[in-house]
Amino acid sequence: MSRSGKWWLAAALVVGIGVLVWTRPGGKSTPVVPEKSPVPVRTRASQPDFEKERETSDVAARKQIRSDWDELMAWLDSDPAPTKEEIRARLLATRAAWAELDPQVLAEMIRELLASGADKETGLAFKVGPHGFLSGWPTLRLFLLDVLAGSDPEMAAVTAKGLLAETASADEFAVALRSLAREGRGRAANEELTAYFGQMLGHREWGNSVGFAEALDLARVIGSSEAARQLAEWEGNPALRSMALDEFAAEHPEVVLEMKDAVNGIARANLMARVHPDDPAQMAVVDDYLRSPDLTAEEADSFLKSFPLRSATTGYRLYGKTPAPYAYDQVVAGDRAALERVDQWVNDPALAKYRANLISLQQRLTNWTQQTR
Amino acid sequence: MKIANFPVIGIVLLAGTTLSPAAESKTLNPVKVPARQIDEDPFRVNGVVLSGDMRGSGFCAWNPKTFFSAAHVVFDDTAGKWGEPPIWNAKANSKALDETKSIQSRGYYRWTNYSEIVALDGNNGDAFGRDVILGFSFSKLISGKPAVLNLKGVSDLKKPIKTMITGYPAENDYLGVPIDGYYLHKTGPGVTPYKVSWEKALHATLVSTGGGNSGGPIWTRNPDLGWTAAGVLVGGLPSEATVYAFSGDINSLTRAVTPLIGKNLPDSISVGNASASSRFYVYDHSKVVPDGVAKWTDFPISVDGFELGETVKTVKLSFKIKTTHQGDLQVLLTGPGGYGKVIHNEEGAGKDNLILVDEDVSEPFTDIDPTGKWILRVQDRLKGDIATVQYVQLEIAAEGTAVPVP
Repeated sequence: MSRSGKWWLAAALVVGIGVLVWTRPGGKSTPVVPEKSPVPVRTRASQPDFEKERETSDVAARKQIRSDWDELMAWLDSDPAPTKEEIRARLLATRAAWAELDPQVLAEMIRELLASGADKETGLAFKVGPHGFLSGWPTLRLFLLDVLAGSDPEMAAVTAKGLLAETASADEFAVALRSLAREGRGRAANEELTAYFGQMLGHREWGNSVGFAEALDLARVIGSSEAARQLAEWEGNPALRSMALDEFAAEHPEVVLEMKDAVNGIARANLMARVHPDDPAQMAVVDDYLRSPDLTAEEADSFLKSFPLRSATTGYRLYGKTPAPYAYDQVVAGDRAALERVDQWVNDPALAKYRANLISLQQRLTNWTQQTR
Repeated sequence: MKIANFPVIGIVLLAGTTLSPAAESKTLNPVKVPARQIDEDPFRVNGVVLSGDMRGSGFCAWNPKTFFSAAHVVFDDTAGKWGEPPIWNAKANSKALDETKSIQSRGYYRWTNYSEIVALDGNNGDAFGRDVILGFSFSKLISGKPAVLNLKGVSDLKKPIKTMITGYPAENDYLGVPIDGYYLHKTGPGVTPYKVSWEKALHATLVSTGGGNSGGPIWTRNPDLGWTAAGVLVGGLPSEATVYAFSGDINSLTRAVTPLIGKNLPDSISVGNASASSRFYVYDHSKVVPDGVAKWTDFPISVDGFELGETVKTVKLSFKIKTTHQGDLQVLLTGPGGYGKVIHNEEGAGKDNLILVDEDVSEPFTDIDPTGKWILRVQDRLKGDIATVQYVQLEIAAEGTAVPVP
């Protein structure tokens, strides 16, 4: 055999052995990269099987949710009955555990559980916590709706639309509506929200529901004159209406002026006192209001003692952000503008009957403007 | 206590009519604070709060331009009237108030919600459950630092620890004795654990105050900070007291008032423990996000180290995702309990690498408990460009034990 023939034979043997090793069932090739290489070379072929991993984890997540739910339902019926503190703690823990699961799987499972109609009362009061999520859930269905809103806002909005059409529960209506009302994905148009608001106010039997009460925040979030009008004309709890109108006026004073005649007395004085005095259009309405022959002494007194009203209610709200309607620069500018107008009112014979109140108001505004110099 | 070093005759003269009955009483009773102690902590931050015909107490805390008091002192719930903003009289301690030292506040924010109204109508609630306001002024209300808040008041007051109520009672409720003038009184110190009455309203027996004391602070003793304000006195009967206890909710109230008290607010500073300080948490493994799959890939970060009761103040997010097409990506940050924020929603088209550095993403997470699992969730929704998350960092600042003192 020639030298070249030997070389070809050797080469063929090497290739042949290599092919055998490579293709032998169960055989192991010599690793190209050492097992503990400091810089492993990652290739597409070395990637884990994402699809299989995901399927496994999705199945596990579904199993966990179902198991948690079944245990929760049974536990609420256990004897001795769990305390409210224990129930609240367990629901919080369940929410935290579910938040770690795949949001899509969680949302699908929650929709299934809601569709099943299964429910239990928890004994907890309906309570709104930070960012409009609940910190008290009277029923497990409300708990599910609350979790759904966090896990998948878009699916929550779709679920909400179905639920709003059929639920007889004020609390469920209120929580479902949140998915359409809060900023971000799933937010419905103002016209749609206004229609739901009117639908809700039409349920007189819901007047004592806490969820219904918290849902009055929707008017402030919509911010339209139509929403304000619906609220002003609502014949329910006057204290609720007053608070909702007040928070509305604090954020949208110009809108409230459009429907000022829909309310009267001290409630109207509170709304009028929230105008921005540095807006000539708003002050023109206030000027007319103060000169109106229909203005009672009590309403005028209430207005002049609080104008420009910058106190407010605040707290966690179901739909909108925690109210913080005023800021320093705006208040200072408003006070200066108000003082200029009040200086005129004090010397206006047509307003002589309010002179004592006007002088007192002038003094307050003078103090405040001096404090900000 | 300094008072023990003074002759008995001095104590009697300084304490006036309330000392002797208090000494005989089995309840804690209001005792006049000696004039020489008025400028000391925690007495120097107290003030009389006047609102129309109402007289109550208050205390300057959190910021020199703000004071806490009880809502029923300043707001006429029955009539629904706001009225004139309350008048603050710092360190009053005389027969009559010195009007030249009075400060007309600019207003107040009242911490309440709609459900409270329904609960009260149905007798399911307690008028004191949310009976707290934070007044604000354009002027400083006291000289020196305001009181430090104990935002764990709601849990601390239930413990057998030393507490004290201060304020300006117009009567001794237990003895039925009127107290003339505007003299600062203290009830305690004493060890009287409180129990839950309704939500944040806590109740104790064997503690007496009196009308006019409403809105005054209940103090707890902190080994590092001295007396800290743990709540507001909101009601009482002879030998009983109800307080609105502070919790993380108060951070929302102070946050709402913050825009009103002027510019150049000092930055938060740490006041003892871990309050208002930042902690960093990192996910530092490189991981490929499945290409063209509309499913989330999670990058979990376990957050711990915060004290019980502390709540999120700020969250800053940093991460680097290596990609050749930002428009493929959706990114979501989830906090404990499911609070979430969309960070990136397929914007950026064909730009390379999605990088965030110290992005403030606080808004949806403020006031929640920071402890637990935070998850950055990423989807690569379009095929063709491989995205790799290279690191994720969270910087979380929380408030709890005490809020910032300017």
